[in-house]
Amino acid sequence: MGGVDEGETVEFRWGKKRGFGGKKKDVRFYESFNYDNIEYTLYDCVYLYKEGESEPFIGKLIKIWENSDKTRRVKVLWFFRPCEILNYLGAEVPLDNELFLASGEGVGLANVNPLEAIAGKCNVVCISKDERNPPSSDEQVQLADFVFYRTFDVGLCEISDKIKENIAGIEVRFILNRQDLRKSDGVAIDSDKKKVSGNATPRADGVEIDSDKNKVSGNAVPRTETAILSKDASEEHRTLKTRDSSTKDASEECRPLETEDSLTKEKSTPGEKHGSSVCVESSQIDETRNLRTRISSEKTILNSKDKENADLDSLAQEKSTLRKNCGSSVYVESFVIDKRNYSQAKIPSEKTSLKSKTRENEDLKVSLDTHKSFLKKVSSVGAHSGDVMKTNDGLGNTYGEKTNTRLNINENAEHKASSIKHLSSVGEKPSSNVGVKVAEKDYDIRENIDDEATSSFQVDCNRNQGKVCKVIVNEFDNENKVKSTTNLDILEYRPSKRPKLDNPMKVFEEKNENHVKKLGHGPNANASTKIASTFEEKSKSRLSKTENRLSNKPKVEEKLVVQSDGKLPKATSPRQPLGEENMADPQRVVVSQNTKIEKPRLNEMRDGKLPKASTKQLLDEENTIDRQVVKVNQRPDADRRKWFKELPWEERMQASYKQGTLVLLENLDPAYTSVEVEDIVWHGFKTRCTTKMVQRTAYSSPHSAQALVVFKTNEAAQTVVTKLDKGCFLLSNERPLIGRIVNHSLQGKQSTFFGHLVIDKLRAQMQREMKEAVSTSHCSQPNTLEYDMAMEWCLLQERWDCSWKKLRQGQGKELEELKSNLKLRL
Amino acid sequence: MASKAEAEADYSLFEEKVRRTVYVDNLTPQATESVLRTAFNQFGSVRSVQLIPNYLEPKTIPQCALVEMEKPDQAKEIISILAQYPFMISGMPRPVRARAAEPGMFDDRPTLPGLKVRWRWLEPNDPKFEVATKLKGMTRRHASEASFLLKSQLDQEEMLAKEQAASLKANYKKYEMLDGLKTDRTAHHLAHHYNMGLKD
Repeated sequence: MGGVDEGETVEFRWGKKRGFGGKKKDVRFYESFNYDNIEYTLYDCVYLYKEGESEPFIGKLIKIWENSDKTRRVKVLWFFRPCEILNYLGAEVPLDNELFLASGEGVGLANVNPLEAIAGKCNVVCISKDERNPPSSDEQVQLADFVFYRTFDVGLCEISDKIKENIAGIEVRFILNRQDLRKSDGVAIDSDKKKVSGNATPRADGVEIDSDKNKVSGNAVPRTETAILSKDASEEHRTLKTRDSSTKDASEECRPLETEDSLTKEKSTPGEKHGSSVCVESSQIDETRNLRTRISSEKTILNSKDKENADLDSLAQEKSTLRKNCGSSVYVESFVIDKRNYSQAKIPSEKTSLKSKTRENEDLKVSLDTHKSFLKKVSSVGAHSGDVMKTNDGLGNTYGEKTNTRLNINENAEHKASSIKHLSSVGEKPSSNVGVKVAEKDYDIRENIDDEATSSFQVDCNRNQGKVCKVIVNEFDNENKVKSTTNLDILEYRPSKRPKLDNPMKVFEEKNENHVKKLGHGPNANASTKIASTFEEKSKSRLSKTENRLSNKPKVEEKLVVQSDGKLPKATSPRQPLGEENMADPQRVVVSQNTKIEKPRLNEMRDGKLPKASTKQLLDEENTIDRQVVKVNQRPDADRRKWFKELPWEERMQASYKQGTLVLLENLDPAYTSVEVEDIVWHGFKTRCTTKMVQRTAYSSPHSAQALVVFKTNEAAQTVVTKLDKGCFLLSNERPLIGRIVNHSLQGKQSTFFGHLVIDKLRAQMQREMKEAVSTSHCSQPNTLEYDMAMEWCLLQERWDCSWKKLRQGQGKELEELKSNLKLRL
Repeated sequence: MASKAEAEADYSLFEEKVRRTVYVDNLTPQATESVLRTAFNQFGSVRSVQLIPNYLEPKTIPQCALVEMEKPDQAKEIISILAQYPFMISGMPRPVRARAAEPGMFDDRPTLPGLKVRWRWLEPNDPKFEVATKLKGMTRRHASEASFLLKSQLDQEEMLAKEQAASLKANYKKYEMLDGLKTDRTAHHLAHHYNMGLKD
């Protein structure tokens, strides 16, 4: 124990050993280690640093080991920052330092990282009211960098405040606040054992599917929770390897891995074929899509849909002949596509029905037709998978059918343990999130107009209906045109921001955009755009999954890698092995593409929705803390600042100035430093920012100081400035804060300087001398012309110094008077 | 508390640094770090030189810098010498000016230990609100006063520079003429005219 690795500059020491694992028992598991003089133990929360990432990831160490080749690995259960799951948060405003624990199964739950990626300890406190959670004191919460009480299911994409018994194979008590961490050793291993035995069978089946579907490896990782079974260990390494082929994990343990990899390749050959066919076909689909978007009449929509449907069917057939497994996944895809068509056709129809009540019946008929055709489609698709759907009449059955198909898929895949997870997540996502929502919304809208369909529907989806219904009605009532237009703007704006992809995505986007535009004209613009936006987003996330499937084909894969890496250097949400580059990994492609999708969305959310929420929050806060004096403490994540070198200030400032997020705060106490100003902004406005005090010079006022503040968004900057302008933010020492957005460029080199004279004729010569001279400084001697001139300068300077002094004194007096006035009236 | 003691130690170290440092201004933009280093190495050994960036003031104000010396005595010496003799760096005749540095001039200063920042929002119906608004206005006014003063100072400096340039030019012309007297034989002619002997 405790051998320091050679060639490693950062101090490192292993701590308590836990056991051996791996095929040759050459993988050592540890309970603690000391890295860079910080003691880490199992289940500690840590920051993980990734190059190019401004914000560190936060995760919990759930396993620590060293491979036989001395590479050190940690397995990390992730926490999500609210901004990473903004899409699923809805209107809810999370606590400012709130995190969401990853749970469920799927990509993003947990993964293996090099131990060196750990950047520091992070104090995360669980504030769940759960009885299993030892309550944390207020002080603890105050001291915590982050708190969490909710989980985010990565498979279902749901936020829940219930914490499951077991997350990523870790018992809940290790995840919640710890009472005593030492006692738990033996039990932890037990639980691992249990977990292993519990998972052994499904995984054994899952391996095959893993090998031809890379994305499943994400599932495999969280499940390979083992210290004992060598197979599991090797498999974990395999996932590791497939994830980052560049890792030098060429340990003995990885040898079985390679064989598995070759297996992967073999397996993936049929997959490739299939992938290419999917490619071709999806492009076909796109064509029909394109066609369809051009066509505006609803009937033609139906026609082309049928055509497309035929395409899909043939596609599905091919798939099923190629491979059952693939077939089922294609069903999901086609289903998804159907789904979109369906709702697309329906939403306009409903919109029009809303528009003119006289046409209501006709439109309803049309939508009925669309439903029927859709149901037919579904049934034909379903037939291929061997589970014939019972096509029910009525409008509200689609949802039920969807679940049926989902079930079918589940049944199909029952013996394919890990693929099922993904498939179902693919299937579930649309149906639970978009499906349910869209369907419910649609039906609820219809409910307002016509009660025909609701009764049957309500039985089907009684889950969120009440809530959603409310939301819908609200949205419906508040036909906020401004909002809808902004929404529209956002939606239109988004595609332009996204890099161009020559795959189906773009087409989809365009289409969605059109779709949204079309919807935007309706009277229920607000609601429908909302539907459309969630829908679009969902469809895109699905799409990326589809692409993942396509990316079994190496060429496609590479292209995607290039695109995703080139265009989006700052991916926020991927839960990837950190600090290691991996180009040829489809997994990565998908994740980064996901972020590509999500990132603009996030921005947009920030632009469009969040400011509202935040101002509201601010107002609330204002009311609550009104009249009370607040002490500024350190910002909760204060020490994070020290770890990550940000861009040079000049660049940040310039960029920020261009974006209009640069604010000049005036009338600060000269004693404040940049850190204090950041804290003040944080406490006063609940906004994060980067600040820099303007360095004092001889010209600066001795009474107050200025600071340049870079905000993250335009809105934040605007809000702060207007609030400062309208209200009165009084700092200690009777200093009302002043802020304004900096509207003149701050850069540019000083060009002219008065007072240095050169005789023209001698200029050239002088310049040469200047270049050659080592030092060109000297004290002037009293008998020269230079000295006389210098004296003139000194005189001038002295005069001005006097006037400056007088000015400052006078200003000081004025301020004193006014301030004493302020104090007297207290 | 350990961290408090640490912060205090940090700050006293910083104060030591402030005492070692000279604030220099009226520098030409050509004065780079290395130029300053060589210039001030004549008075002792320079530890570090930091040019203070000018973000907000007009671009024509002279550059200023912080020069950290090895010892506080050296800093004091520089200030007194530069007060007595005009010291030129990278050009003349405008001398540079040296002052004792102040904590606020430093970019990387630590937090003042024990500094408590408090804040509150004032309600518009608060009687103090009006006063505070006045304070805000006054701060703004003071800032514009200062910028006006600075502007007129710069104007005067420009004027002085032009005057000096003109007088320098005239002086130079004079000297050049005197120089030329011999070479163009004017002196010789004059001597001949007045019957004076001209000694070389």
